[in-house]
Amino acid sequence: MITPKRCLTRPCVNLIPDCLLEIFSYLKYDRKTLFSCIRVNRLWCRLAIPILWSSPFKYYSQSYTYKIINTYITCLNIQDKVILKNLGLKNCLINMKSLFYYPRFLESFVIDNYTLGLKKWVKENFQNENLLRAQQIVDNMMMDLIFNDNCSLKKFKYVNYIEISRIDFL
Amino acid sequence: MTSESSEGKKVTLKSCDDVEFKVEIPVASRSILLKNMIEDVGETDQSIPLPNVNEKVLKKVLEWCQHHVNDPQPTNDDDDSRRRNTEIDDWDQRFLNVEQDMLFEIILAANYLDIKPLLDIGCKTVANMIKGKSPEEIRNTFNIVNDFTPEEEEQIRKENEWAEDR
Repeated sequence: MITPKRCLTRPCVNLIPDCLLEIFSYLKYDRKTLFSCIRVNRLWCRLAIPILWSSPFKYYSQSYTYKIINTYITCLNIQDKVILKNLGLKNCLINMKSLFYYPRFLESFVIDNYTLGLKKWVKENFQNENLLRAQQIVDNMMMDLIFNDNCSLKKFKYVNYIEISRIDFL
Repeated sequence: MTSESSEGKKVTLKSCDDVEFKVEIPVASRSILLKNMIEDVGETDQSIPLPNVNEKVLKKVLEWCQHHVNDPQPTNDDDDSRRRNTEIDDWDQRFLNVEQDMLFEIILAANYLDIKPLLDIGCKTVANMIKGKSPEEIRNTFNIVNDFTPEEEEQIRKENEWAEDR
């Protein structure tokens, strides 16, 4: 069988991780392309995940910001997950263990967008009369995840909108 | 193209396939690695071996160094805004209009020789090639083997699904 020419001339030079990181850094704010990069192979995944997760709350979107919380919740320790289950957490997140410890990659945190995402996430995931209490508890757990000894945070953005004023733990 | 003071002063670079290039010092000094070596060693008749760069790639890299010999040295300032800008000037675009293997070898050489602006435009070019592509299209373009298990692939998709949405 004759092999097509294009197969003979397929590229064979591999870029080293340092160069791939440089390349991904130009895609830092292109989350859709980074979403493709992390699914190429294990190496690309390992290198691109920290970039994708460096500022997930940069923009707020009704459709996706609350999903970021989903993934952070899978990074909680089992005790916290049990507490959330007892509080009325609906889905099966407590049985999931994440592939990466995502909070470690957070470099820039926009608290207002986070808060809006958190409110929506709690609303969608709790069968509970007292959503405000659930929100406070999840919020505390999230803060412990994000602000600890392994924290990589370089930028903290706070905008004082009256209705979501959150200066209490600054 | 060389400055008055160092005109005529040359250094010999030797590629990994033993081809020697006599290069004016300001041109070679676009490479921070070579600049530091030249400053450390001083004038010498001995050639500088470059075990990671072959003749074809070294010739191409030196063509870039010659064209950009009078550019200011890059600074590390404003790193983030520099990375947001993915524009490449016309000459550089033509220069990098090469086979993919050559493009990757130029990037590797620029990384090894520490030529930041060349590394930048090479990486920008590849970033532009990746932009908007699906994982499968990226694998096909760069001849990458998918080594995920189907379970891993699904978990990664799920944990990062927020990045997929508009």
